Amino acid sequence: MIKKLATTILLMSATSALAVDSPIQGQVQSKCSVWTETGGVYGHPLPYKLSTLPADGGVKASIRIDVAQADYYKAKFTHPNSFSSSPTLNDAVAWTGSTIVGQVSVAAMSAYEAAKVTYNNVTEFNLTLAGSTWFTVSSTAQYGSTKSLPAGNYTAIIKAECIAK
Amino acid sequence: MPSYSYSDITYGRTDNVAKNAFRWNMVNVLPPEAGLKVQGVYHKYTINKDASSDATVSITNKNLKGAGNIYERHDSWNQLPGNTKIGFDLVRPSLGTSWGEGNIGVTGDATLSDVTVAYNYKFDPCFVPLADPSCPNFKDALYKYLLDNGLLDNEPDVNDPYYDSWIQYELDRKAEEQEEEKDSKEKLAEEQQEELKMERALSVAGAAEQIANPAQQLRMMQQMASAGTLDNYYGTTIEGGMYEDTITLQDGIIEDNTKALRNLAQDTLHRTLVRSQYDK
Repeated sequence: MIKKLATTILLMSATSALAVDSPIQGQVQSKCSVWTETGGVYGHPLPYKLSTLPADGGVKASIRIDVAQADYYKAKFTHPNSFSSSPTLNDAVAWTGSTIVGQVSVAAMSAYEAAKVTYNNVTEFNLTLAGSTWFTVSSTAQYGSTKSLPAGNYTAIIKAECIAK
Repeated sequence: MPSYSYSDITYGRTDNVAKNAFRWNMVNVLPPEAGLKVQGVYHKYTINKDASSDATVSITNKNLKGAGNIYERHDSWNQLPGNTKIGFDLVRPSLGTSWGEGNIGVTGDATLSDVTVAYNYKFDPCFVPLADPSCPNFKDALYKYLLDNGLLDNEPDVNDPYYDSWIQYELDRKAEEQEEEKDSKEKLAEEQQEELKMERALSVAGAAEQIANPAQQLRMMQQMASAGTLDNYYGTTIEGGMYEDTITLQDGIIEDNTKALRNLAQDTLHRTLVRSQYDK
């Protein structure tokens, strides 16, 4: 009798252990990546002006976006409209900038330029092809009307994003 | 012929082959290393055109080992604005000797500028093991070369490209032979020494006879005398005169030493007991 009871308890215990939560794991890696190939540099052609144009002694930024899966992403570039660090400024700064398709790894990507959408300081490109696209971003800052910029270091940030459509 | 050496593979990229002209000869472009294989083509060009026109850019290489091209790329720029294109094509590695004349050109209403074309390649520096004495299979290859050319036992001409290698090979071979001979002699000496030790160990039983041998004794005496061992004895002077007896027998009777007799009896018994173990 004691033996039978012991067996019954064991069987009940085994039955309850069969119910488990079994996880399914997975990793998602983006099929779009953004790389800064050339960091921008401001030239200082005039006392009140900072510019990345080569003619002004500056260097335009070059940002590469690699897309492994065609037509699933769009690129969004925000050129600066403020300094992230600078000496104290007491007057307004007038900002201008642009983003263009610089180089392409597939000929048809050159069509991105004509199809881009621009608003405020933002430029968007529809990445319809797989491959690499180099985007060139330029920026210009003009202080006051024609007021001299205070001496010091100036830094502004370009925001480059790869956004799933 | 595949290379089975363990040497490192060398990778490289040519200069811009389209720097001076849009047509180039691969013989002047690729390094001359045997077994070199092309494994990729890099290109960068700027096409100048209107978006409304049609144009195609082609990059090709003729196939020297067959018909047609060993590599070709065609980029269609129909109804697209001009731009700068960058690309890299991986190709199935093939011998550089198969790659013929290269060319980049555009058809349609467009022009090209800032053109760069370069080839990625790889080769095994020891693909021909005789190329470098540091190659893993160099000795085998040199041996085969000497054998094939009947130079194994004959000195090659001093102008032979592998004359220096042959000298080194011969020096190495002699050194190896001398080393082997030396090892063999040392081994033989060790074996003889071992045998001698064994003989001596086994001859302990006859040591007494050896000592009793008159000839052996004479040799021992000669050795001792030659080393000056007995000089002290021979050199000692004993003063002359008469040495009188100092012990006198008082009553003329000498009694037996019973203690000594008992000891002798015990010794005999002991000898009999020990002996009995072997006489069964």
